[in-house]
Amino acid sequence: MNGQSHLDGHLSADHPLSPRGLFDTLPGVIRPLVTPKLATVWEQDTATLPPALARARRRYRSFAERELRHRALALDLAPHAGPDQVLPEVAELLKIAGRDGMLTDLLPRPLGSASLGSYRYPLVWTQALRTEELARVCGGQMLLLGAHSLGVIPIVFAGDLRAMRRFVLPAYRETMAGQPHIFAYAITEPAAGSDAEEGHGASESRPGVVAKRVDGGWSLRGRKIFISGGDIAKSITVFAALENEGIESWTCFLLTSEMPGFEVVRNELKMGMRASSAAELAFHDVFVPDDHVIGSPRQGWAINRATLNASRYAVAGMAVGLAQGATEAAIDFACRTRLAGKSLMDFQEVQLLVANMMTETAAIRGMLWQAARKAYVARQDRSSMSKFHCTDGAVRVVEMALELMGNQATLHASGVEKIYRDARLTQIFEGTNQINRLSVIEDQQEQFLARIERN
Amino acid sequence: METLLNKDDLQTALGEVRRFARGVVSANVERPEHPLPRHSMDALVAEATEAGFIPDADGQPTGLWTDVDDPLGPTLSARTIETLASVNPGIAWTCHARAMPVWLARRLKRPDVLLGAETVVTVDGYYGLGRAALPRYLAGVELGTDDRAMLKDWLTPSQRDARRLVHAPGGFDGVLSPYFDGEGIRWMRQPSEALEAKPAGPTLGLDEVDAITLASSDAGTPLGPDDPREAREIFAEALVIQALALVAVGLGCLRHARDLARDQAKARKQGGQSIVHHPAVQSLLASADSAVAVVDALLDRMADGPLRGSRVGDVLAMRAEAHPILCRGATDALQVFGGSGYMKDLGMEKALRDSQQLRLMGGTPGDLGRFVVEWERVR
Repeated sequence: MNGQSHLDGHLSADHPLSPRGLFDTLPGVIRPLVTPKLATVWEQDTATLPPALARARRRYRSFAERELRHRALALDLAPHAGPDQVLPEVAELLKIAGRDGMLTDLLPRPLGSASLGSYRYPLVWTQALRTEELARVCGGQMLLLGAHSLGVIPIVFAGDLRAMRRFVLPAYRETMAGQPHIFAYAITEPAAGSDAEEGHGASESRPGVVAKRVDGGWSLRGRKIFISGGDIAKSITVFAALENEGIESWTCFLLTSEMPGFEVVRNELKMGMRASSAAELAFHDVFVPDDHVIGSPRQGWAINRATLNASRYAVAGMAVGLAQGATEAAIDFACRTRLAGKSLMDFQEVQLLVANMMTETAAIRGMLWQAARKAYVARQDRSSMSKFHCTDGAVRVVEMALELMGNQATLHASGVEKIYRDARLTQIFEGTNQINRLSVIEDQQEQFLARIERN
Repeated sequence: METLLNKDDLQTALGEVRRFARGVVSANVERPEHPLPRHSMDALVAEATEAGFIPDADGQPTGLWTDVDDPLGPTLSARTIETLASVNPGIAWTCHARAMPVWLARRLKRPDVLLGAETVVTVDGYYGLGRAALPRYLAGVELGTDDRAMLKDWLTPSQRDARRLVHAPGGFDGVLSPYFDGEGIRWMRQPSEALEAKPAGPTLGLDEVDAITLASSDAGTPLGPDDPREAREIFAEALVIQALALVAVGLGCLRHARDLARDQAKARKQGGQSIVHHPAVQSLLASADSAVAVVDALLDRMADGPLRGSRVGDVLAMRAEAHPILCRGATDALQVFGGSGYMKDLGMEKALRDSQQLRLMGGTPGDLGRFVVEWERVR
């Protein structure tokens, strides 16, 4: 402690003009109305959550600090894992996450470890809180754990209890027994990036994975790219068009990595989120039995769109977490760095940047929570608005953190350059932010058409 | 001022640089996901020196930053760097970094500091750009106690764990560092061992260039200059040269990214047509195009005329504007690629990282803006 009573340009709490002291002079009945308890923004926000979600938020933060923090920089620099390799550190983390219920908290018992109480609130809100807290510490590890849930969601949205019992239940048991059973979600194809998720583009695109009818099932041929966790997944929800049909015939198939003809071709070298792989998968006439169709044939497009409508809230949550992580790193730097005898926090330009970062982060969090708190039905317009606005906002916040820390931010050890690389992905995946803007319009088009009609 | 270069000379010289960049450099950097190994970098620098693009300390210096008294000299150097950066920003920065000691040694009239040594020049302090104290000093204003404390701590930080960051092209044994002697900013040669030089590990961008951190130290051989006015002029010129180099590297980097994005937009089909016809893609390409055009014009203005320290305010003001524009252009060019842009093998993510790295070196846009406001107030 250097005994500093106030930052430059501000009053100390005991100064005659400081509101802290002055409010104590107001009548006792008024005092509680104007005197908030001292609390961090995180504590203030957590206090606004329903108790079950506040508990979940604390649990996610505790897990992230305990298990992700010390692995974050090392995993970002770890050697690139080939398609047949799982880094020991990744395997260890998956086991720990499985044991702690962090791979199984999407569904309630007997299919998962989520408490029934958490279902009083929209699932997307809980998931957004989770991705925020994990991404705040490490975007890559958050994606490693989160992509698994994305692989399970299509089975949920298919409403296929048989499939849940057949595929999700044993996976849950394996995971709890210390053998993490990872799912992955495979939609993106080499010739179709974001158009795979956008109606107009998709209607014209040529399917990259085709399912041919064979005796007792289907034969899948083609490739998927950029599949998060595709190399470590035991089960993959793969979307494929039926032979000689367009993408409207998309069908969701549950493949396992042991099926003959399934191949992990390679893992991409990525800019960031490096603790999580992005795999290219090849299907060489993979036989998929009929009972591995999730939902019904030709329901895949609907299942996919419903999955993305839910998962884009989670991506917005990641963005909020990355913004929060950058803000905290910048504040930490400003408080421990001195220039000409002063802490950087004493300089007004630093205070302005910190205030902007805190406010932008609070704003995108507020937008997300507002959209998610009533999202019992995951609306396309709200999820896409949250996704593109929060991710764009997060990148702006991280750029402010880079500005505040200057050339020291360029060092890997600073942690902030990693956050920048991680955050940049959120503007691209689950539909580029351009596609998400168009998704908002698509979802509202009846309103616009009605107005056009009136004119 | 005698003009030795004319516009034809300039175009001829830049034509040679282009041939070197496309014919020699590009063959070494075809895989952006694999940073150029040290021995290849050394070989390219040797070839660039042989070709006359980098001054040779042992012979008659020609190349980067040697004709800076000529009205077209700064333009020639900046555009040479830009041309190299359009193939690889790390190589361009390395060529600039190799040229800086020769320029400084000539400017200080101390050619002896280069003999037999790999020398690095650093213009940066520990953090920021000396806030208001630096423009006041450079403008010749009498310094107060706070100004002196700021300049001293900026260049030779007193905080125990503070380490200056230097982007040094490989092994080096000496640093030409600015220091504040209580009256002005002068230079000294510091042996690397006195600075406890340590590899800084990976950095956000410029993968080909080693980052090294240096402990704060007063140890070194003073190089002058003794004249206070000359000391101010030399440091201001060093800032101008650094600004020109950073913007030139950034512009070359963006030009390359923009060209890749244009090609991608033409080649990739979505919704049954080339994506270049989608307004969403057009707006991204327009952003990259306008960024190239604006910064190209800024660089022309920044490099206009012979090198003069008195232009430091104008040049830093333009640099403050240039980097955010370059970063915006680079991120929009990447976005044209969607998921592919995030993967290292295309080089788009590298262009974005390099752009951000350049924005943060030698003072951020915020630091530059504060410098300019004070410079304009007091000069």
